[in-house]
Amino acid sequence: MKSPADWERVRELFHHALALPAEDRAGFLHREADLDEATRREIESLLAAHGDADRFLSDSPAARSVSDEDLLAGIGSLQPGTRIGAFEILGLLGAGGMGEVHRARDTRLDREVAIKVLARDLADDPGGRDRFEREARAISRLTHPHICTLYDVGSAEIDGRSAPFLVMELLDGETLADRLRRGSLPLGQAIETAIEILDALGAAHALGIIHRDLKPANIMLTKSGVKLLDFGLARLTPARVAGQNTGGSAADVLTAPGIVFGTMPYMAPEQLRGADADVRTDLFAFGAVFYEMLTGRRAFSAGSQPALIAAILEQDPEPVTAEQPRATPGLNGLVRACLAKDPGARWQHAGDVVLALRALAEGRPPSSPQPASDSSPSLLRASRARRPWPLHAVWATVAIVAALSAWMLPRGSSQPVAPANPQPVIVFMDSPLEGRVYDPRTLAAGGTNADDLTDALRYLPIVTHKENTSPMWHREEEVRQQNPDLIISHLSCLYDQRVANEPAVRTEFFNMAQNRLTAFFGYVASVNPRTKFLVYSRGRFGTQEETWTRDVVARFPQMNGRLFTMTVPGGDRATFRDPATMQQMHARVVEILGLR
Amino acid sequence: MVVDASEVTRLLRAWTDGHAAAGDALMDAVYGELRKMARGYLRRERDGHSLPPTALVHEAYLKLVDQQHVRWQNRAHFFAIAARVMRRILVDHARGHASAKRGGGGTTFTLLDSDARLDPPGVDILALDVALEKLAGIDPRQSRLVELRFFGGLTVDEAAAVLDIAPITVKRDWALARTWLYREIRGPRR
Repeated sequence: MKSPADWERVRELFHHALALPAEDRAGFLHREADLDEATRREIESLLAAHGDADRFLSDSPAARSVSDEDLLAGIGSLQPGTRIGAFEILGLLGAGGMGEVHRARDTRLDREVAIKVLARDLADDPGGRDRFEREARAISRLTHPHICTLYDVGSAEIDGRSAPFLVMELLDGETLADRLRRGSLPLGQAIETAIEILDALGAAHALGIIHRDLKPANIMLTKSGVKLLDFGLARLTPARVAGQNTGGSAADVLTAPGIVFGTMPYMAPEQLRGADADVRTDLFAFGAVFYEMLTGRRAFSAGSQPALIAAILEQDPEPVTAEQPRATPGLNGLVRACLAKDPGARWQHAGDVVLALRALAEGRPPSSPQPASDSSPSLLRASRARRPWPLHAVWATVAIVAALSAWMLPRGSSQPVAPANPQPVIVFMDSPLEGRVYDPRTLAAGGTNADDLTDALRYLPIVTHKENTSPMWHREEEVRQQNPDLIISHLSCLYDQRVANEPAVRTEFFNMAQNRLTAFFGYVASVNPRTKFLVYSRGRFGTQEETWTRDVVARFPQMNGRLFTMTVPGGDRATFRDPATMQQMHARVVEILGLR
Repeated sequence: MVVDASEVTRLLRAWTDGHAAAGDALMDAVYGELRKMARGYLRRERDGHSLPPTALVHEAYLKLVDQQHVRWQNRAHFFAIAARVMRRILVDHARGHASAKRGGGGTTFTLLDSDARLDPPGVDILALDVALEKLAGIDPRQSRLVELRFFGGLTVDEAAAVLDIAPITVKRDWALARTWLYREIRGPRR
């Protein structure tokens, strides 16, 4: 039997070799003098397989979606011929997030209708029946050429539950979702469709009815134009927790029971945060749908639920002009204004968007969105282009791979030293929620700690990076590449406001956060031997500071003499605006960097 | 099996604290529940556009875990265990499919009736399962990573958080593990 390969060496050298041009790899492995034959062969064999393995496992079954047809195959709780009240079931038409839709005959009026049976048991929910009927009555007041008419509501015993059902206009056509599977719409048709959707939304909004769940699957394309389905239905089912609860956040959505996951790509940031929906929530969803009509691509998409939430909260989609060559910058601006993260910076009325769209279609300059009158200028800033969330730093160059490998293999001498900066570079780290993630509170307060710190240090001959990052986001590599002379961070910069309200969780989180901060610093310190660290904290963490510093240096001896601390009064970001604290920070930085 | 949130929460905490036996009991509970939920989804929730099994995992978390009594780490552990459960469900599904082909009376659970849907193109789940076991003998962390990424659908950053390693390490491990598994299943290049 041949001797087994040394796996540690395989790991280490595989990546090293991979970073080299293919023709240099064999030579590289042969130059590794202490490499035994079995290990070398193993690495060569893996390198040979690497090219073919490129797409292998890249398609996770967990990330794949399941289509209507698969889910509908052989399922349907009502068989043709079943009677529900005056309605005779003729066949299953399809299924939406909230239940099944059947074609049925109204035996009294002898006309065909669509019956939607909601996936919900009214018997489980005292008072639910009244509420259901009250809401349904409101929706039935909606009569509009582009809204599917609701004729009747009721409930029936189906599969042992008391299932509410809605009787609606039977439509002939395909959903926009089906249409979009074949790609984007021609520009003219997209605009025409958009105007019809907006007309319908405007009419509903005038009656105080919010759709709450506008998406391509709820938009039917018929011979007589667009028909919006399921108006306000989100309210009638327990499935849409996000639009209903009051104090929730994205975290709640993630784990909320019964959430309709397929809908999330069209949900507005405020819905993800748990705020109630209003007119502007529908306009955001409209923007996402319009974007998709124009480009054939989702405005927001991601491989996982948390990543999707992050995308909706933080990212701006690519301009529509990138995908639809006939789209003008004006059209792009119009869509962007629909998709503004802050409702106050969005279009406020469906009618305004229609006017702007018509103006664009006729080649006139469109008006810009009218923000809500109570919006402050700082809120308006939010609608400007924001940096997309860098999920991970891109670090493709061979030099960096080599530098990193050198750090990971404890071989000392090969470690490169980053060149000195012409002017000292300072990186500020800030909390994830209040810094990087768009948050009205931060803007209302006038900015983040990093903004204030930049202010405090503005007369120094330094370069500052307001990274508004936090170790929590695993952005070591990015920060490292900025080659900082000094990193300034709050001791509790990992604070997560969502958990900060619960004392038990808070302590736990804080401990974990500090460990993470230590590891983050340790990494940067190992790779950038010049970097120093200044950690400031509130007065009440003052006693912890010393212990923490000792622990950090014990774990990462290379930080000895490079870690500085500072206690600031209060610790709130506002304190950096008071002249005394600003001066204190100024003096500390001058001292640490030896500027003068 | 009746699943009680406080019991699951207790198991989750015990397991995070290092009681290995709790992990098995926890996995049984999560498995049973996920299976049930998968079926329930097919009966009721047919939104029609996407039903990623990871969605089930998120929902299972809420359903099974008492959020008031868990720590941040517990949550990461839950998602990690759920990835393992997805692996089991998919492997069972593949086995059921294989035995049906042989004409055996398989009673194994299948997630969906249409078989093709869950078999990712070009991946033989059963062969992958065997290869992963073998990889675990050489490098447990890489095997685990594949489980998280491939069966759990976790992103690089999420996997990094669960494994408590840097994303850069995740990427390196992922590249090597994928190559190793590919070679193991397809055989060395000729």
